Amino acid sequence: MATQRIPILSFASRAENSANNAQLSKFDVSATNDQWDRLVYLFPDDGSNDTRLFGGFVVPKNFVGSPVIGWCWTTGVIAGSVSWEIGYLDVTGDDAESLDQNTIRQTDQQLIVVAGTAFNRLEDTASFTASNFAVDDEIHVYIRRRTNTDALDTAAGPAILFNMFFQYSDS
Amino acid sequence: MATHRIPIIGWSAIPDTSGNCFPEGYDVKATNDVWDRLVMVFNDTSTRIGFHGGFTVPKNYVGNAKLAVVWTTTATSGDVEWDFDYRAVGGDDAESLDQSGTQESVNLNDTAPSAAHERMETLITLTSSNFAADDEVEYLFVRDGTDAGDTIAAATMLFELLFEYTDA
Repeated sequence: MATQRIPILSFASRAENSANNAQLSKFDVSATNDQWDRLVYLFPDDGSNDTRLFGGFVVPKNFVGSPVIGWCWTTGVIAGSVSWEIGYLDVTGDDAESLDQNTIRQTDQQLIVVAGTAFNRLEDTASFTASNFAVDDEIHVYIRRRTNTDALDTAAGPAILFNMFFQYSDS
Repeated sequence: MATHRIPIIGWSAIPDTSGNCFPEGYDVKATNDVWDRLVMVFNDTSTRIGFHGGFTVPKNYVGNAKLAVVWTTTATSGDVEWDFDYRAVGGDDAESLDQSGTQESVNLNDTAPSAAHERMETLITLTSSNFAADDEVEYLFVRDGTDAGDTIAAATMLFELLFEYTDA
């Protein structure tokens, strides 16, 4: 048995369709050194609105168990916390289950203290129920910064998302 | 020997110039609007519409190449005609990435879901010998409205396009 990780930000990734949302941005807009001008997602410090990013992926053929959704992120500020929430829905089969359901299978909320040094890489993970996932399932997923709904989200600057991944064990 | 699937809609994906194939938030056509991710929309037309893309054949590729199509629609009657045109280009300074024609063009007809928005999955068999590890695969994925078998009177939505294969 080995642990695997696959990236899950893809063509399906999209900021929430609302006035205040996660924003696709070049890293140099936030960074100081401007060496790596790649794209990242910004989750602003917006006390009036949570900010959210949607996506989708397929459970790999060699999935056995121990499902984890993780995210790699940073901030330019060095004080406060960011309140994250991950949610997902698994959809299985061929002509058996709707992709358009008013359901969230599971969520996980985590309050994370920002790094003591600006732009240090942070990695956090949320573990979920293995029996909810099956090989070839289509997974709808979101990551939300709870700037409005959690008063403990106190980092006074954007959270910068670099990657999301699905971690699991194979046989 | 194990079976694998890799997603192949990547950064190089670009719709054709028809204006009838495009990425769109799922909430535009969904009812519940819980999952506002992007999907690739194919309008109901009488022409071939689609998008171009590319991917690399994995190192552990051995054979049994297939294309898995995960899609849905709001309609509950009719069929969709999917086409997949591709060319696998190998080597280092050995073969042109700019060739005319396709290496293979395959198609598959799939029936509309029994209920709107149900997850549909269908497999298109590809010629395994056309692929080798590390090949760059150029492709065009199409809804073929010129085919008499394409009868769904609504847009179709593509959620995933996956390259399936077996390793050693």
